[in-house]
Amino acid sequence: MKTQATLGALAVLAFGTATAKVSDQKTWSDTYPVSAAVPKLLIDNIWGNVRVRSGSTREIVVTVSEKRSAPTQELFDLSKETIYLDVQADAAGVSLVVENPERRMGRRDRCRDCRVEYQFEVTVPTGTDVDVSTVTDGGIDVAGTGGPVNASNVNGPVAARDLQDCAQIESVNGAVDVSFARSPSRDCSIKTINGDITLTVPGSAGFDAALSMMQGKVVSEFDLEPLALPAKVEQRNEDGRFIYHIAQAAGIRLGKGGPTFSIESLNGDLRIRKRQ
Amino acid sequence: MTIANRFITSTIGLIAAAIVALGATVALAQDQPAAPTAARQPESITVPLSRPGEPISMHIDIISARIEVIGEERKDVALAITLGGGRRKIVTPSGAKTLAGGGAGLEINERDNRVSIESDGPPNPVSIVARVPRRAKLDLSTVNDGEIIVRDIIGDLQLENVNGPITATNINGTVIAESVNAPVSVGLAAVAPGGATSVSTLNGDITLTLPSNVKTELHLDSGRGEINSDFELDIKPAKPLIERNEHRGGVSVKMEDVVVATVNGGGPVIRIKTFNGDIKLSKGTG
Amino acid sequence: MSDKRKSGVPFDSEDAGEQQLWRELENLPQDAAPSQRLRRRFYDELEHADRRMHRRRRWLSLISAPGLAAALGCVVVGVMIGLLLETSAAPPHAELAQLQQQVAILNRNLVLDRLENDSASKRLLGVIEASDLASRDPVIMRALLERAVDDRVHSVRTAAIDAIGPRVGTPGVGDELMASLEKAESPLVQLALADLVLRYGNPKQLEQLLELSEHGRLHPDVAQHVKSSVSRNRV
Repeated sequence: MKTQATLGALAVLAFGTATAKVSDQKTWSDTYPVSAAVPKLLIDNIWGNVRVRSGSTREIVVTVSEKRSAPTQELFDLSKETIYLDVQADAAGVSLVVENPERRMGRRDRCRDCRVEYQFEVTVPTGTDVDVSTVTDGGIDVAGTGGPVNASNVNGPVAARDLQDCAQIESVNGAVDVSFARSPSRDCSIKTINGDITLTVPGSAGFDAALSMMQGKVVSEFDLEPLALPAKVEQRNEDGRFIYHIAQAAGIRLGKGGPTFSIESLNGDLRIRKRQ
Repeated sequence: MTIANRFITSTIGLIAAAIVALGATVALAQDQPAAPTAARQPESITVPLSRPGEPISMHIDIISARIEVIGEERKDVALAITLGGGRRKIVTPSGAKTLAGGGAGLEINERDNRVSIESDGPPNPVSIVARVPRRAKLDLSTVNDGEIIVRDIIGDLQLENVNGPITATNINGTVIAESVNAPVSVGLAAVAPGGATSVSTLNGDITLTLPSNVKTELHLDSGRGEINSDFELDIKPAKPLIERNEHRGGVSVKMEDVVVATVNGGGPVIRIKTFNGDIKLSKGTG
Repeated sequence: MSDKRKSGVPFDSEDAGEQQLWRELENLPQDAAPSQRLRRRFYDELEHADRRMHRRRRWLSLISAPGLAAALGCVVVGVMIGLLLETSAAPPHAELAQLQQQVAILNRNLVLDRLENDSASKRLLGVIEASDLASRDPVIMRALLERAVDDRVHSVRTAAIDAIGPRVGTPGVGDELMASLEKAESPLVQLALADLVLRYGNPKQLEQLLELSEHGRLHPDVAQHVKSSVSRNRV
């Protein structure tokens, strides 16, 4: 087994170095003034990290590090057309979207083995509505932004810390770490398929939670009350089909109750911790 | 108030307080019981059909389910679903608690008049009561802690319940019903050619109700059980007992054979087989 | 319209010609009788007619010579026509056989179609119908065997197993069924296969069945049934 793994790793490495023959890296920074009462930050990344902190008021400061690589010069040039960063900015906020139209439209990707990693470092005014995501080879790290947070990852972790409020935090295969600076006052949704969830709240916090934890363990540092919850019916329409989903979560109440947290995981554990 | 009265009053008060305090202590000392699972209100979901007014087909395959399907004059499907609790254990500073709920949900799909209901996770008992258009083809299957009940349908049924009973009443069509460890009861309003009916179980009685003027050919295999019939059965000349003797160190076999019986002259075939159970043939309105 | 009825005219008519006729009829003498000459001519005619008919009758009668000749002539003509018709048509038993064959092919295709149908109920009907045909028709036998080994609905599978009956001794058929018994998970299928072997299996298959039941490879109820139905003969 070990020899196989080593051989496998060597093969991947060889393959990796073999395919990334042409590469280029550049970094730049930009400052965007924003005047909206609740500015908006949207980052849609594919390969790479996204890190967001709070900074000076009335400005969103973005530092981007781009690393582009492709097996041949021809594909490298092609990749500039097929994978690129689209930046939109105005007084209301900033949007940074990594476009890969070939893949997103499901067409055969002409630029196979092309790869463009973006590492984002962003500071935002306190209270900004943050909506960030990445797919692979990276993590989401948001802390102290003071406004609602939507964060999602597929193959990596998500850390959303010192929150005032969350909206939706999810990962498919990564761990999710959510912590609140104050008692949450809005509903929140935390989901993983295969990742563990850690939720940290102040000792005085009160909220309800609807748990759909299939396989994992649930451990709480808080005492809590069971809560009878009604079944929830969701409806969607998928190419001519009506699809209804009905499920009943296990309910708990922490403290005096409050907003409802919907916490779902297939294989992950849930840990509810007291903030020290 | 006299001193004596005051004394009595205060003593009674003290005793009352003590009782209350004791009660509170007892209550607090107990582990929190699980949230009640009994008498949960069903959720209602109405599923519109792509082609209302036309026959439907319905497919339900859930490991632990009580499935009841009722045919009515209607152009959509009305479901009443009760999700039986999952049991979710949660560790807290004051000990482990068990929560009800948090188990698998159900996904309900409709496409082109075909409705399907499936579980989306580990098995949890559910109860489904479905009111459907009378013209329906049903394929219902469950394994444990379940029951299948169908009535007033014009169409072909395929019903499977491994460890629980199956009851089908007033069916105008063919029925293929199988259980392993439970009784099966089927009532047909009519027996038409173009298909065949088969009712079987291993450990359970089988009851078949047919209209009194039915014309059918019954293949009855009751293993060790009895066959009781309201109908006059015309048993084809086939030896009901098999006796075989293989010579010289071989084996002999002695067992019952299938009974082939015609009713009112014969007609489409109905197969009935049980092993540890009796077969009852009843006359009725189906 | 004025009433044009005259006495003696039996009904009212608007046709001028008809009215004229009725008037003329009215004016005919009341006591008319045929004259002598008319009478004589009438009887002469009668006699002539009689003679003519008599002459014709002679041809039809078998007693007189012309009649007999006519009759014989008809017989000869009839026989000739009969022979002509018979040689131009196929012999009746061959035609019937052809028709029967066509019906058999249609029926067999119907049964084969049913055995492959998506509907379990139709497949079950196909199995029941195939039971009679399988001995004479290897294609149907093959299709029936497939249902017995492979059908995803237990009731169809057990019906196919039952339908194979005595043919379990046929080489190939028995082997496939015994192999499927080793793999069968459903107690209903196991029971059907066990019953098939108990009723119609050859000594080797019976031994195989006994071995499976003794080594706990069968559902306990099925194993019990096998053991209680079988007794070993003393050598």
